[in-house]
This record gives sequence, structure tokens and C-alpha cells, in this order.
Amino acid sequence: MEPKKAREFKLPVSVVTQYDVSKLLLDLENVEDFFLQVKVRRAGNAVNLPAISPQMEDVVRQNDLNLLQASDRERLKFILMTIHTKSPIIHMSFSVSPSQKFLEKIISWMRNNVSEIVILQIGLQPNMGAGFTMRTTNKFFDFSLRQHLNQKRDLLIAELKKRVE
Amino acid sequence: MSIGFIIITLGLVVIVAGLIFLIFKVNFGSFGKKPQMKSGDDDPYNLQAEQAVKAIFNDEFREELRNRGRLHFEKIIGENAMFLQQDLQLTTSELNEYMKQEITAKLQEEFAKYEQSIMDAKDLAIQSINKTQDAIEQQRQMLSKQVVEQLAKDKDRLITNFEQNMAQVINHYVLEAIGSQIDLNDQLDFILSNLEANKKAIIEDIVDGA
Repeated sequence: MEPKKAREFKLPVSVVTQYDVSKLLLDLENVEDFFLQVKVRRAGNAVNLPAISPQMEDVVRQNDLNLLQASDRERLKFILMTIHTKSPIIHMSFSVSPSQKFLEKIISWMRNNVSEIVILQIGLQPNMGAGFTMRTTNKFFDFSLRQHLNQKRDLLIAELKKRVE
Repeated sequence: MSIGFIIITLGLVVIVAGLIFLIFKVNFGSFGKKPQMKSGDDDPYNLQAEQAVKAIFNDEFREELRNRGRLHFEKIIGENAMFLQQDLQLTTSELNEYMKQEITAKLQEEFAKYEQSIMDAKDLAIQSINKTQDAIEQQRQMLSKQVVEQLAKDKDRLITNFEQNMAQVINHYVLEAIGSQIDLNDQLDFILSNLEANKKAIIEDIVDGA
């Protein structure tokens, strides 16, 4: 079951994989470090602003968060940790490495139809030709061209026999 | 031949011994003995007759008689030797013929036995060959049957392997040929339609598996 706070949270489509969530947590940790450095810095010492990833910017924008507020940072950290540990993960493999835009379309469908905080784990299987394979917690779906050709093998053999005879 | 030679030699020895005996008798037998004087030896007629006899049977005449006798005996010996030689030749030829017949008969008998042995060996060999041929024929038929069965199995296996491998080869070829040519963006509708078709199963698995 999805946590309530995580369910209310809007996870942007730019955050697709568990790696992206880990990167968000790292960004958030950098922001926390920045504010910690600001508190302990001496007068005249320069403080480096933390670099924020585009995914973090999307998260902040879509959820109306203010990272200057400690409460928002704390809430965001809790939500991200919850997503990182408890959100459903769907493994998908393609014949070639998918583009970010393509993944965003897939994850968009997933979040609209399956779960709002679902994340993907992307794999690469060049021998499948086309299509994709998908593995959820207990099921495996093979929509690859390889599987399609294997299913049609009897038809192929029948055609071969017909040609030979 | 050796027996004939021995017989001839023995015959010659007997003849020579007979001649020697005759010569001895002539020289030292009755011819050499002086006639016994009878009561009337002193008779002049007798003396004259005796002188006439001595004149007639002088040493030359005696020598002549000896020569004639020697010649006669030599002639007889020659004739006998000839007869003996003829007999010996005849005996030898008969003996040769006999030996030839005996040897031929013996050889024929031995040859018959040998031929019989050869025939027996031949029969045994033929029987053995026939048995071997029968065994070979049975073995050949069995092997032929096995080969046919094995060939049929191999044929089925090859056909099955060919079908499977050919299907795999074609699949592999198709995947290699068109796999990298299809853009993922072109597959997006196909992917989303499959997701949509299996939406219920996905949701159920995520909800139940969570």
C-alpha cells in the first residue's frame, strides 16, 4: 500500500528510475549541507551555492515546495525516502537504450494508470529485436518481437514444409 | 635294377666256376692219366699202336684240342651269358613292370586316400563356409535393419533439428535485420497498447505484491 503522504506528492515524469530518486536525495542533502554551512560560516567566507538538478527543479515546482524552508525540505526528504524504499518498481527492457523523452511518456502512462509514485528500472536486451519485456513483482510480460516470432514458429515450420514438399 | 645286377653277377660267377672245374678236369682228370698197362703191354703191336697214338695225340694235337675245347667252352659260356643276360633282362623288365604296377597301385591307393582326405576337407570347408555365409547373411540382414532404423531416426532427428534451428536462424536473422532499424518512438503506440491491454494484471500484481 502506498503511503498517504507519498500519494499526495506529485512525482514529475522526469524522475523515472530509482537512480533519479537517489539523485534527488543527494541534491536535497547538498541543500541541507549548504544551509548548515551558512549557519556555521564566519563573516567574509564565501559559501558555494549547491547545484540543483532539473529533476529537483521539477519536483519543487510541481509540488509548490520552497527549499529555503526547512519544513519543506524535511517533508520532501521523508517523501523521497519513502518513494526510494517503498514505491513499486517495474522492470522494463528494450532492444536499444530509450531516450529520456520516451521514458517520460512511458512513466506518464504508468503514473496515470498504475501508481502515482511508480518508478522504472530500465534494462537493455539487444536480442529481442523490437518491443519490450516487463517484470512486475510477481509477473513477467514479454511483448518482444523475439517472443512473437517464437510463438509463430509452428506457422513458420508449416510454411517451410509446404515450400519443401 | 640292383636285384637284376646281383642276379647277373651271381650267374657269371657260377658259370666261371663251372668252366674252371671243366678245365681242371680236362688237364688233371682222365686226359692226364696214363692208361693202365694191361697184361699185353709188351706186345710190339701194342707198342706200335701206342707209339702211333702218341704220334697222333702229341702235344700239338693236345694243344689244339685244348684250344678247341677252350673256344667251345667260351662259345658255350658266351651263349649262356647271352641267355642269362636275356633272362636277366626279361626278369628285370618283369621286375620293373611288377614294381611299376605295385608302385602305381600303391600310389593310386595313396592318391585315393589323399583325394578322399581332400574331399573330406573340402566338404568341411564348404560346410564351414556355408555356415559362415549364413551367419554373415543373418548379420547383414540384422545390420541392414538396424541401419535402416537408425537412418530413419537420424532423418527424423535431423528434420526436427533443422526445423528448430531453421526457425531459430530465421528468427535470429529477422531480429538482427530489423531489430535495430525500428525506432523506439515508432514502437510507442504498440508498447502503450500492450500496457493498456495488461493494465489490470499489472495493477493487481502491484497491489497484491506490495
